[in-house]
Amino acid sequence: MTQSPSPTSSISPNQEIIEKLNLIVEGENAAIWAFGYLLSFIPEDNKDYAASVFNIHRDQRDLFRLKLRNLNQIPPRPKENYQLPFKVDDIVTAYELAVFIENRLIGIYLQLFKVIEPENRKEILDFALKSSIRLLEFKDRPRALPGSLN
Amino acid sequence: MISRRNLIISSSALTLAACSNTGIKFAEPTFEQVLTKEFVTRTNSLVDLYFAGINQERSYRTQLIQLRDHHLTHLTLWTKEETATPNPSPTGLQVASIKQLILAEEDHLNFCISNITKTNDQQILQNIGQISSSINQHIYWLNKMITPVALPDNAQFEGSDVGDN
Repeated sequence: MTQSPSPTSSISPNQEIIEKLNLIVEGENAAIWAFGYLLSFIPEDNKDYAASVFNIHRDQRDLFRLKLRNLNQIPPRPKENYQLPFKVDDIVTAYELAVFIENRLIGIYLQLFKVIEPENRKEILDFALKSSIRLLEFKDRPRALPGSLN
Repeated sequence: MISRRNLIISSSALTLAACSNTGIKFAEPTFEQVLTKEFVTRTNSLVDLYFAGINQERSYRTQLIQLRDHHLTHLTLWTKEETATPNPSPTGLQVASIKQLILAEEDHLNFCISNITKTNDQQILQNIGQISSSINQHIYWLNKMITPVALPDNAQFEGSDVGDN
């Protein structure tokens, strides 16, 4: 199932909010690259879920790019290459990379969550909540404070 | 380090002092102070329920201790103490099922979400965001504990009369 970008919710053009929206697009660009990379280390039998998460991040990236465009902002472009936080060479490290990406995105979404207008907070929190479940789907254990980088 | 019990006792003492007839007028607590206090109370109740759950659900003891300790970490966000030590309430439930824990976690998640529009305090919102994500994981994890594993249709069991042994 994919999400289609919705231009209906309006966000006020506050500079702090624009910065956080940019961070989200950059984070999702990195996630798309990382999932494209790690998919090659996942056997065919287990590939469907990781591939669906790749699509989720692409849709989320498109949604937030649209939000920026609606604020007359130019969204950040994806980089050609990203530095991996650790070496990925099998399914275990591929899942660890997926966990790293999802956890980092929780932190990024919460940065927007705490500065955005009250009426838009639930929508943004939902992105963090969905990432928190994907952490577990990639074999991580529950965390006391998801989104923390340490 | 301060124990949860000491924390409750000291906050009660402060409340009593505030109510005494000294003639001194105390400022009304802000919404954020009231909300923080409510989070402390609710988190303490959840910790108590986990103690009861750990008593009853021995086979999940390790996992439940881990989830209880997450709530102790959440408690430190509200109290701003470095650590919170686990102390079961002597008057609390003695046993609790996983289902009870799920219902309590869902109630706490709803409480978190119901308050996200009521304050603009960024630290409180950060706490709520991270705690909600953690509780969401707890609910998922606890549900997995009580959901039977679905075996494939062609599963065969040693010593059973299922299949063509």
